[in-house]
Amino acid sequence: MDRATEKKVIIRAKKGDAEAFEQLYSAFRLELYRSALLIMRHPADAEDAVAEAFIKTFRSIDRFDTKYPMRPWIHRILRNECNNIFKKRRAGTVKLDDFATDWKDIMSDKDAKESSQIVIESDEDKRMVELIDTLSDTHREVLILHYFDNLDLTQISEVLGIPVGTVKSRLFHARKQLSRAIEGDEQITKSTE
Amino acid sequence: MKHLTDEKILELASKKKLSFTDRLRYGLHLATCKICRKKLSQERNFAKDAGLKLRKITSHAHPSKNMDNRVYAAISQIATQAVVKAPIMARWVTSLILVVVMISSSYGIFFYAPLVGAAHETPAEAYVSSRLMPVMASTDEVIPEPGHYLKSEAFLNVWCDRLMVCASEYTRMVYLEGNNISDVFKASILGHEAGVSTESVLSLLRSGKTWGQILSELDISFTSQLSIHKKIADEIAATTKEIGEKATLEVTAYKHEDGHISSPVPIPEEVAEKLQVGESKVEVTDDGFTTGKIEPNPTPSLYTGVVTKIAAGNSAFTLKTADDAFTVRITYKTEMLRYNDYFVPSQLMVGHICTIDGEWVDGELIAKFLDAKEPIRETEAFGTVLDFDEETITVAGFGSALYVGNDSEIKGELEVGAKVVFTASGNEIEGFTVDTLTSTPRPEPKPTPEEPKAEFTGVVVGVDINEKLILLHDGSSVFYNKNTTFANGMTPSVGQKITSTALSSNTLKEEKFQDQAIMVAVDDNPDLTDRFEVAGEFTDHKCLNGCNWIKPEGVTEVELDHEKTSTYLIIPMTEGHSVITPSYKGMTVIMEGFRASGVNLVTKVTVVDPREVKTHSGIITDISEKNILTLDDGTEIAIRPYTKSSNPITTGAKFQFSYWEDKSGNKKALEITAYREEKKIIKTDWLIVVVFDGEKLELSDGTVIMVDENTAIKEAILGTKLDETAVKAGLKVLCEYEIKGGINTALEISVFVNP
Repeated sequence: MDRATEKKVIIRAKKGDAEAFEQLYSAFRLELYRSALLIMRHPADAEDAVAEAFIKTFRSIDRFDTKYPMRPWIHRILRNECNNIFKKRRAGTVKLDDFATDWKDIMSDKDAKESSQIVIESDEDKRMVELIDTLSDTHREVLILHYFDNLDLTQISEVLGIPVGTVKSRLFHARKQLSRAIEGDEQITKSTE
Repeated sequence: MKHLTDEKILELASKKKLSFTDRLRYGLHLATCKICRKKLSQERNFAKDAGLKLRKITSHAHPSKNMDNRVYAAISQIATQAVVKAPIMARWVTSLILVVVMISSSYGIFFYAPLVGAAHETPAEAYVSSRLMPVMASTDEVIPEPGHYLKSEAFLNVWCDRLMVCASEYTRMVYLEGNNISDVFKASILGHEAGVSTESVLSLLRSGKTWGQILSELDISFTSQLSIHKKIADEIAATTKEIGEKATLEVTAYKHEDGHISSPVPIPEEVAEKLQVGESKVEVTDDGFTTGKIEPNPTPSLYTGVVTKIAAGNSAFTLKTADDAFTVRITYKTEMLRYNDYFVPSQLMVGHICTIDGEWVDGELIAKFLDAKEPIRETEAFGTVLDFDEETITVAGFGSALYVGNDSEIKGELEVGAKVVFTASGNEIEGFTVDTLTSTPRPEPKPTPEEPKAEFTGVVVGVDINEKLILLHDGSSVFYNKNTTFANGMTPSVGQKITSTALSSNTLKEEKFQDQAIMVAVDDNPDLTDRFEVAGEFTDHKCLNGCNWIKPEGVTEVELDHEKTSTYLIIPMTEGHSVITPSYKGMTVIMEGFRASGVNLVTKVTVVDPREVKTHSGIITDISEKNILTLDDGTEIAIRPYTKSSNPITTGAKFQFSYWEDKSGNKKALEITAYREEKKIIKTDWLIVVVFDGEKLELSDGTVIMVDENTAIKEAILGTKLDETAVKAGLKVLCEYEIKGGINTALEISVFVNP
């Protein structure tokens, strides 16, 4: 959805046009779900976060300024929802490690492809998943917002509510680890040639 | 030249295109610095690659129907609520509500019954909200985008003047309490028109109240509530107009004694030169261009001093200025720079010299803009000179730039390799300027007869004039320098045989011993032969430079199946060395080159995929001078030196060819063999002889077979030998014949002789 269309759709949504809400939902649904899945590492939690993010976004649509693109705003709401779920989980009995096991199991299950879940198809995928697991929450967040969601540093700063400089240093460290994982792939590919 | 940091490259690569400010700050550097441009391009490729890999692992993931159902249910509820709200209420409903509300108000009755769907808003509040919402939405046209320092300043000036919001109040709300400009502006404009404080409106707005609810809670009379939207619209229009008329803006820049300039926008060199030490007002357009108009600031507003103490978490520090010391608070909205680059609170250290633009709130200076400068310190160091010119000296092991200033005192002659001991002042970012420096010249390497000398002999396979090395056919390297004597005054070329006398010496760059040539002699009688062109199965390779793959810059020995005794060298100049890898073992390779002093140097290598080797047969109709064969069907196939053939190739004969095609589609023969027509032997059923004249036998199925002296004729049951007279019309025969040149020739005839 281009900016001009997005603006028109948001104006219609502000007037209570259900179809406009649905258009916005369709436009961001998959992108947000996949992003949340990388952050939460558990499909059910990702769905919870995304659904809540959309509901909150739509409830406060009349306060949204159409001068700005919607994407960073909705991503910010999604991040807050992810953090809320993490906080609840930490306060409860389920440990973070349990998520990790869950997501790895799901991703390793080839049959899961049929039910449209994430699938590990190669060693390269496996290393990428392991890397995401080893990153700290803060590093994982900037890495996904930048490389997966394609947000620039200023937009990430807006989404996370932290200064650009902090985004830059977090991304720098996350990128170092990512490059080690990617270079590892290339080394392996070269040696098998 | 100071290169961009990795973090800066990362930041620039993250943007789809460079902003005006980035172009101003880094454009010139990127235009001239190949290294940084390359790094930027690599970073962009990395980002693309990383994105693809991350997307790949989630490419099958789809949310379930449950999530969709949940959101769709919420949409239908939210949409209903919005529709029920006043904006699209029928006129008569609005009038009725007004009448009821006014009567209720005059009798002191509050109308609280909420409408279905509008959970917390009374109809009166909803009505007021509906009038205010579009007006408040229009403020978004006035408020600058976040992060746009200049537009924000212009907006702030107009806003503060019109609505009497003082700078400290604004700073507290935006910088300390974390409100966004949009909410503060809306609250201030509503507060101004309603006669209440901005803060009281803001706190209600932050608690999620609607405009109607806010005015109701602030006890604004309903009559005023009904007309306030017009006043706000007028105020917004006037603010917009005033901002629109403001084509330029003044920023305060501070020029330090050492020439460093603290400014929220980049100041071009020509403007910087005109600035006086201290504070000046610099006129800029809203895009950040300086107009060239500068004047000293009569009422200095910036604070410059040294950081003496930093609070935990780096959110506040003590700044000691020339005549005072106070607390400065940094928030996440503070624009922080260090030498025109982003800077984060955690990087702030005691000793930093900071220039701050801020507002005083509750006895603390809230920094809106902060420029940090590294303190000047003195250092004492020593090392070996790697390079130098009139202005700079590069010393091994000294990580910062070292400049020669007007007051630098230099003793001794500077030269590459000289040992220097120096004192300098400066910092790691701006570099250091030499105060005093003593240079001890490097002792000339003088070979003594006792010193071991190495001698290298070999055929030159590569010369790298940048690295100053000559690569020999056995993989050894001969390094040369300005003191090396070449027998004919020139560096040798590929194919020449040389003998080099080298001295093992300690090299400057890598701090290790290296054989440096002192004399290179070239063989006067080189044994150069004609070019060779060979083809064969690539069976083995050996990299002579101590690696296990074929290095473009190295020398690799390649072995072919049928030429175990000869090896061929892939050298730096070999065209196609990048296509030949160990994975091609077993494939046919074609190598062209020349032989020099017994060494086969490959100038071009081609790998032929076995799947691309084709076969064809035909009668040769012509053989050209260039050994191109033309076949009867018009096909042209070239005979190459490597083409295998066991038969003499002549016109008129039919041959079978196996060949490959080069990039231009030329067919090149790998092997040519004489064409052999398959003999086909056929056995008939028992058939009746129709006619036989001694030579030509015609059978009952119409087959005609020629009988000659080699045809064996026998009796069918006993196998006794018969002659051709035994074959008569009407008898049953069983024939075995071959088709040769289209003629059926009988090999054996079994005759069933009726007893």
